Amino acid sequence: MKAKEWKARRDGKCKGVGSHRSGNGSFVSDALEARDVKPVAPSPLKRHERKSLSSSLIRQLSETDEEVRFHHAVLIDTTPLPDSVPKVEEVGATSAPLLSASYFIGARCKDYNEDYMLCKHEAKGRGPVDCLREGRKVTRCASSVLEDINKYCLKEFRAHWECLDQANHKLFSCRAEEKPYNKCVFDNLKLEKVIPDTPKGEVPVHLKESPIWRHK
Amino acid sequence: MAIPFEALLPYAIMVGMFGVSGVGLVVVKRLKNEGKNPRYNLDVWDRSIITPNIRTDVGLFGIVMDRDRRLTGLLRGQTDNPVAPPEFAVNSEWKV
Repeated sequence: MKAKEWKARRDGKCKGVGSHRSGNGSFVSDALEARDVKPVAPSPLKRHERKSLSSSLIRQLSETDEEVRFHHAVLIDTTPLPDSVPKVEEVGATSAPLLSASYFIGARCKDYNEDYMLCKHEAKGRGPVDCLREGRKVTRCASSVLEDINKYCLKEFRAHWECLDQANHKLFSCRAEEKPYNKCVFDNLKLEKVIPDTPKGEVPVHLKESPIWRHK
Repeated sequence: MAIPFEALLPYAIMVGMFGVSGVGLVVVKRLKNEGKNPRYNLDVWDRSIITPNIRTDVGLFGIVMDRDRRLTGLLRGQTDNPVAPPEFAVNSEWKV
């Protein structure tokens, strides 16, 4: 990047997604502001000095007395969120169990999810900062669904997502495991898997007895 | 009638070699993927959910968020806990 281009960027002529020009003229991203970090005006960088941006970032983060792990390719910032943001525990499920439980999370958490999506749409770029409250509700609801599934249907749940893990996370490959799993969740948690936008009069693809395409 | 088995030995060896390669391929595949089948045709969502930050190249996998790996420590690891351990909230990686 040439020095002229960098100066234009610093002066705010270039509008990046999620970044804005803060009061004292520095080029700061929203995520950093949300973390309560003092912005530092970058000096004009020559081509070979581009790396110093990351070192100034590291310097300003280490001023907060939190541990910063050094690595040649990534920066891991262990500064927690400020105390003004209420704490919520993140969802602990990885991709396969999450996919397996996704339709039930959708069944229970439809309202919270739609709230959050609407908030992000209306925030027009400041979503990650402005919609934290709706996001917390979404997280808590999804966690609650996973907790209930673990409590009542753990065996069927595990069978289903272990099958998915072996099958490139394709749902059509695991219909045999899905049947008892869906039944168990419906009996205990009253959550039903519904595929939205199924054409009227057609059997949803997960209920078809002998599908022509893509069966195990 | 006696079968000339010495003459058929080379064919048996060739067929055996096919078997050895097949077994070897499956073993290597399973070792690389922690005992599971490999993932293929990963789209942007899958890459953001699974894969690690291998230096700063894009390569075969994507970069940026690597949720599965941060949660379990393994590339193909899976857990079904409702809540994540507290370290998960602050161990995300910013590409520099």
